[in-house]
Order: sequence, then C-alpha cells, then structure tokens
Amino acid sequence: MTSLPAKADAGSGDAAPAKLSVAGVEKRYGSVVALAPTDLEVRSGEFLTLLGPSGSGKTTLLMTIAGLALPDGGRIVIDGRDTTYTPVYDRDIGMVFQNYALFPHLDIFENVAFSLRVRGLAEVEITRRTHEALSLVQLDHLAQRFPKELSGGQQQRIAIARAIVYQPSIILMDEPLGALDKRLREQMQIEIKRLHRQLGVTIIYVTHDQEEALSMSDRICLMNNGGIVQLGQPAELYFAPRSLFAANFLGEANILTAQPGPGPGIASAAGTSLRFDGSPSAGGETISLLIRPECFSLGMGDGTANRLSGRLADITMLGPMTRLDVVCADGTVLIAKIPTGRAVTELVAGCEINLNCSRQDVILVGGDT
Amino acid sequence: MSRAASTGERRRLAEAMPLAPALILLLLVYVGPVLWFLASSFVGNDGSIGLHNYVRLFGSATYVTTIGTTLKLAGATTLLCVLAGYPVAYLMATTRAGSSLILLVVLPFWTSYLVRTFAWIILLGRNGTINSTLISLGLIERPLELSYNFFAVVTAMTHAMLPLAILTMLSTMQNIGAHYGRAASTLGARGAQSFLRVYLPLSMPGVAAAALMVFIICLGFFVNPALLGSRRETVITQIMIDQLSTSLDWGFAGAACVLMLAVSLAIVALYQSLFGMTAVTGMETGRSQSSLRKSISRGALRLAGGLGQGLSGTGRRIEAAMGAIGLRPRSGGLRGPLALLVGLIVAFLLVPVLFLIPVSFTTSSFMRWPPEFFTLRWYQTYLLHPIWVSAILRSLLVGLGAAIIATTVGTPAAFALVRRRVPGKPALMSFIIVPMILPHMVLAIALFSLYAQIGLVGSAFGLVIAHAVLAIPLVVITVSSVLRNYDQRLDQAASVMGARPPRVFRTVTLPLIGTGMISAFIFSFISSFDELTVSLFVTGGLTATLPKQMWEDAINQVSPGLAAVSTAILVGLTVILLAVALYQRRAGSTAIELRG
Ligand SMILES: Nc1ncnc2c1ncn2[C@@H]1O[C@H](COP(=O)(O)OP(=O)(O)OP(=O)(O)O)[C@@H](O)[C@H]1O
Ligand SMILES: [Mg+2]
Repeated sequence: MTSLPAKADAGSGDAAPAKLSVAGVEKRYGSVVALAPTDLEVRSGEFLTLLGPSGSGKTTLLMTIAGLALPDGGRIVIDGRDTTYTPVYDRDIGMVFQNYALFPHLDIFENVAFSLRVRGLAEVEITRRTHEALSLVQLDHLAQRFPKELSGGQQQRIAIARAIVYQPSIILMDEPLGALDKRLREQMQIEIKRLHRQLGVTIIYVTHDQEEALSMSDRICLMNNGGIVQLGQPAELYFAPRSLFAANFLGEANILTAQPGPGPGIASAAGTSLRFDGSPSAGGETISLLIRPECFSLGMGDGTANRLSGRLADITMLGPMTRLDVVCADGTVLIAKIPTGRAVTELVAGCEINLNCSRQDVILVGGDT
Repeated sequence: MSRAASTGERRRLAEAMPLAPALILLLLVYVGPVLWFLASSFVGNDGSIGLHNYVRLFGSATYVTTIGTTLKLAGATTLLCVLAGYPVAYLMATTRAGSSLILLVVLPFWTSYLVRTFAWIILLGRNGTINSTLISLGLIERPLELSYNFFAVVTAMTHAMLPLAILTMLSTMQNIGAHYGRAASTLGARGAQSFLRVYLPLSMPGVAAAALMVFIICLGFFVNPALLGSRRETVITQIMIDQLSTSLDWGFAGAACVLMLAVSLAIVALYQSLFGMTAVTGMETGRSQSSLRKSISRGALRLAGGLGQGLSGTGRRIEAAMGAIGLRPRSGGLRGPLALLVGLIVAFLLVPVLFLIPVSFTTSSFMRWPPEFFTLRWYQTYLLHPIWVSAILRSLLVGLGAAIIATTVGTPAAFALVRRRVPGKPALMSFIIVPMILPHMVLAIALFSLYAQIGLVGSAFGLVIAHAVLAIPLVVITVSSVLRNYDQRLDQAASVMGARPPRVFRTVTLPLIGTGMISAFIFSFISSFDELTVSLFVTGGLTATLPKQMWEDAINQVSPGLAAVSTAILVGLTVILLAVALYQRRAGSTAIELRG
C-alpha cells in the first residue's frame, strides 16, 4: 500500500468550493484497520466514485461520511461545518443502500414520502414532491404497491427516488447496482448520470466495477487496504497510474520491467530500448513501464515511435477490437488491441509482427515495485 | 490514554445498560435463592454441615430407584418426541401446506398440560374411551390395563412435550434455506442423498436442542406420573414435594434438587460443547467449534453420507425399474406417506383433548366414557364456585402482571443482546435463559424457602415476580429472534432521511417488530397462567391459582368438573391464539396506517 494518502484535488486547479472534506478519518474494528487515516475533498456537484477491491474500506468510508459509523479519529466537514459527531438525521445526506432497504411495511408512496413526513411538510407538498420524485425515476404508476411486489430494478429506482426526494445536497450510493444484471446495470448507470446532471447534487458512489467507475465518474478515488491509493479523473488514473496496483486495477495493462538508460527517458525492456516521458526518481534500479493494449499500432511506424517485435501467439476478435497476444524475443508477453480491420484479419498466428507505440504511450509507473 | 480507556469502558457499560433490569431480577429472584437453597443441602437435620442428605438420598434403594425411573421416563419421552416431531417439523419447514400446520402445533403447545393430562385419564382409564370402544366393538371382553403404568405416563408426557420438540426443531429447520437442497441436487445428490448429506446434518442442532429441552423439562415433571402412573412410576420431584409437605425437610429436598441440577447442567454443558447454544437461544455464538464437536459432526456426516449413498442407489434402481415399465418418477414421491404420518401425529396432538368436551356435560359423577348427557351442573358447581372464581381471577391477574414485567424487562435486554456491542454476549444469553432450561422445581423450592423467611409466601406479588422471571427467557428469545431477522439498514435508512431515534423506533422498528413483542407478551401470560410447580409452593396452603386448584382437585378425585374447567380454558386459549394468529397475518400482509 502506498504510505502517502493521495492529496485531494491534485492539480485540477478548479476553484469550486469543497462540499465535503474528510481529514484524517480512521476506523478500526478491534485490531482490524478498516480505514487508515484518510483525507478526501469532494467538490460541490461532483460525481466521485470510491473504487477498490472487496474489503478495501469503501463502505466504511461511506458510513463515516453518513454518520452511521463514528470514526475513531479525524474530522468530517460538510459545507464548512464540522459534522464529525453530528447525528445522522441532521446531516442533509441521502443514501442508497446496496440492498435498497425499502421499508417492507410501507407502500412505495409512503417509502418515498417518509423523509418529507419526518420533516413535517404539508400533505399537499408531500404528495406533490413524492409524485415528482417517482416521476423522475419513471415509476409513478407503482406508488400503491409494496416493495416486495417490485422487481429488483424497480426497487433500485425507488431507493433512488427515496434518497433524492428531500433534496439532500450529498447522495451516497453503496454499490447500488451490485444486484442487477449487466444490461439493467448499464441502463441504470445512464439514468443515475441523468439524475446527477438534472439535479446538480454531489454524489459519492461506491463500486468495485472499474468500467462503471470509469464511465460515470468526474473523479475516481481508488482504495486498497483501507486507504486511498490514488485520486483523480478517470483518464488520469487510466493513463497515469501512480502504482502498479492502480495500473493493474483499471483496465488491461502491459507492465514491463525495464532497466533505465542509457540517458534520460530511455530504458531497455522486452529486448529493445524504449523511449518514454519523464524520468525515474533514482537511477540504477529497475523501473516499471505501462503500455495500454489499445495504444499499439501495427506496421513499420514512423521511426520516431517505439517498436516492439515478436511472434504472434494468439489472435482473438472481440468485436470492434481484435486482441493480439505477442511473445517478444526475450519471452515477454504483450497484449495489443487493434481496431478490427483488413490489416488485422490478414494476420495468422505464428507470424512475426511489429507493434508500435508513441513515446507518450509508454508510461512510467511511479510507486511500488 | 487511560482516560480514553475509561471512557471506552464507560461506553461499553452504557451499551449494556438495557440488560441491567433483567440481570438484576434474575440474580435476586433466581440465582441468589437457588444458590442459597442449594447450600442448605449440605446442612443436616441436626444442623451439622456435611453430606448427610446425600448419603440419605443415595443410601436408600427407594430413592435410587426413583432417580432411575425419572431418567428412564425422561429418556423415553425425549426419544419419542424427537422421532415423532422430526417429520412434522420437516414438513412444516419445507412445504407451504405444512407451514399452515403451525397453528395446530402451537395450540396444543400452549394448552395447559394439566388439561392434557386429564384428557389421557379419560382416554386410558379402565372405563375410558379406548376400553369402552374396544368392548363395545366386541374386540375385548375385559378392560385393558392402559393406565397406571409406564406406558401411560410416557404417552402423556410425549403428548405434553411433543409440541415443544416440534417448534424447537422447526425454528432451526426454517433457517435451512431450500437453496441448499437445490444446490445439493444440482451437485448430483438425489432425494435421500440430499436429505441425509445436507438437510439432516444442518437440522441436527435443532434436533439436539429439542432433545435437550424435552429431557430437562421432563426431569421436573410430576403431574403425569402422579395421575397416570403407579407406585413404580414415582419420580424424584414427587419425593421432594412429599418431603417438603410432610416434614419440611429442606436439606433433603435440597440434595435432590442438586442432583437434578447437576444432571441438567451436565446435559446442557455437553450440548453446548457439541452444538453451541445457537439452536436454543437462536443467537450466533461465533465460529469456534470444539474439537469434540468437529470430530463428532465429521463422523456423523460420513455416516449419513454413506447411508444416503446406499439409499439413493436403491432409489436409482427403483427409478430405473419404474422407467422401464413406463412410469415417470415424480419428484416428492415420498410426500404422500410423509403427509399421512404427519397427519397421524398431529391428530395425536389434537384429538385427545377434544374428549374432555363431551365429558364436561356428563351427568355421571365420574370421568367415564361414554358420557351420559346432558347437564351444565359441572360448569355451575365449578366455574361459579367462589374458590374457583377467585383462583381464575388470581391466575389472570398474576399472568398479566408477570407478562407486563417480563416484556418490559426482557425487550430492552433483547435489544442490547442483538444490537449493542456487549462483551460476553453468548454467556449473557445463556444466563438469561437459565430459568427456561432448568426444571421449575428448582426455582419453586428455592423461592419457597426464601419467601418463607421474608414473609412473601401466599402473596400475589411474590408469585408475579417468580412467574416474570420464568417468562423473561421467552420474551428475550422471541423478541431477539425478530430483531435478528430485522435488517438494521432499515433504521439506518430512516435516520439518514432525517428521522430521530424515537421516531425511527415508532415508525419503522416498532411496526416491524411489534408482532414479535405482542407474541412475547401473550406467551408470557399463557406460561404464567399455566404454571403449576412454582405456584404450588409459593402460594402457600390457602391461596390458589387455577392450575393449583385443578391439581389439588385432581389428586383428590378426577371429577367431570375438571373437564368443565378444562373446556373453559381450551375455549379461552383458542380464542386468544386465533386472535393473535389473525392479527399477525393481517399485520404481515397489509400496511399499518402510520401517517404523520
Ligand atoms: N463491523 C465490522 N467488524 C469488524 N470488521 C469490519 C466491520 N466492518 C468492516 N470490517 C472490516 O473492515 C474492512 C473494510 O470493510 P468495508 O466494508 O469498508 O469494505 P468494502 O470496501 O466496502 O468491501 P466490499 O466491496 O466487499 O463491500 C474489511 O477488512 C472488513 O472485514
Ligand atoms: Mg462494501
């Protein structure tokens, strides 16, 4: 695990006010460190995803933000107000639970209206806003049903309607789509993004599905072993991972162990010498270079590019992309994804091929090796 | 640092606070008196300290025989209850039709065991139902000796304990999801295999829990042996009652009590090391398993598996044969015979009691079959007699009082045990259910001795407290089982939406666990209303509760008046239980109006 908690807001230079700031928050269960001291800032209106493998502390962080678990240390500030020990019910937070947690004894209307009743709104207002929220998730016609009479996807939408109806400024979602099948999940992803744009709320979203994180988030907060590993925009995490963990967790990666030199920005790996941007921190040791499979192109290249050659071991058509497994002279296996086209379909397993990639596509992975 | 530690400790103490009333009550009214009384067993008649009482207990052949009889009766009853109860519980847990049987089992469960014993007197008597029927059919000429023997006592005791056995096994079986069976069958296990390799092992803790409860409660039985047995079926509790009522020989009763306790505790300890208390308390006690338990369960699994292999081999051959002659094997081909068996067992549970009803209208002065119709005399002379009226009223009041105390003390305890981070939960839970697992006789005598010293004998207050202590385990178990199935995220969701704790409790928690609390209250009431052992002692010589009045009447002479009282109790109880069942069904399926 990286020892440095990633600093929030790294380099994006955006002046939007911090909606939520988490400073040094930690949580232990006995000897288990569920959450190491963690810092995080979330801007107003942002869609931030907590991404990480199982047990990495995502739920724990979310629970302390919601106030459903008291942190063992640190501060939580919402809208400039210290809310570390503010009771849950005073936090102005909405939450969508993984299993939805719809009240089984209340019908859909009453489930959604619950927060409004708690706030003592007038009956007319309650009816109006409840129907409005139900319409937003396109389920107004199910108002009289009970939760157990709904499908999983419908319950999911009701849970969202219930979380937005009182217009909290932060909505927390803990793997809200975990129980849905792939198709429904994609549909709901679009719907959640639409609601996010439409309502302008701040959303903190937990998932362990990296594609979901990449496609939905403004920023991704990658977690491992109870701490933040890296925080940044999806492209940043994808193309500039600071650790091997990050490089491997998001998308497919070719990781090459390389000897730096001769000279800056040059290293030898996979039986050739590669040029890359940036310079390793200390000389002499081996470094890790990352090349995303889709950064390769076929052919002779323009001479300025890096070229790797090897024997084509396997070729798999994936649809618009074709996957090539290439074994270099020194035994390194490279995976390349090339747009499916005539040039690719002519290849046969066993032939020698060249893979090109530009200097910018060879990424120095900073961090643990 | 130390400050942090002490605030931490303080917080843990605060977390445990809701347990305090229940624990204090248990210590004051149960543990304290029982320990004090047990200590007195080491004091001889002459005031010297030693093992005299034990020497007397084990020195006399009569007493040793009595101990043997007690164990034999309890053992036979336990075996029968488990064997007859398992198919019923299995059918109830695994089929929709079966689950509707639950009321038919709950009804006899809550029916007074005095009433049920009276039913057996009518059935098995010399001039009883069975003998008269057989004679009138010409099958026999002289009446068979059906009662006043081992058979009669065991039959009636099995009848009394079977509902408890079924319900205990059922609660474990209901947690065995159908998906295990399905998973097993996808893995290639056919009917018998899947049952023996998956279902039986998973249901074992329930079976053992049922056996444990039945056996221990049977150790304290005296009603059936006294009314249906001969001299040879004298049990240890009868000796204790005798000794106390004739000679006030505390030390000797104490020694008998210690013996009973020792046997009970040994069984509980054995059970706990094998299965943990989960199936009794319903409380998960952690994963650690004793090595004894592991090796036994491994051996049992292998045995069951082998058996399953053999049976399913046979099954496969039968299926193949059926296929050869063009019959398609139906899934659940065993359901028919099983349903028939279960039907017979349920009839055994329900039908005997019904014979009391006609007898209560007989003009004869004996409980004899067939009844000679028709008079309301028994209802008039019994139910309207001042002694009986006051006994009924006293029982009602004591029951209400005990139920109120038990529910108010037990509910917070259940909350703390399920929801709070209290250290030593399993131990606390085991402690709280002690009054339920140990024979009532232990508490009865101990409290009698305590009350005699502080002048509480014969007071309603003393009885209410005693019954409350006996009912607390019922409340804690009932409420905590509801709480455990309760998804706490519902409460979290409510509070995230802005509801404060009291409101969360009122609008979400209470409506969802309310049925559980009402059930707990009613169960407490009925258990007190039906309680005989403790009442027998702590009410003293004069004041009587209904069961005590019935008991004293029965040992003089079993007259049709008791059938009349029993019928009245049956009707009242059925009404209450049906109302509860209806209420629960309604609460389960339709929304409760909770606006505002
Ligand atoms: N109540 C608890 N008691 C003890 N340990 C806990 C508790 N809750 C969480 N943990 C531990 O804290 C760590 C972080 O758990 P957390 O639930 O935050 O993980 P997560 O990232 O949400 O994982 P998942 O993707 O599986 O939901 C885990 O190691 C977990 O075992
Ligand atoms: Mg989680």
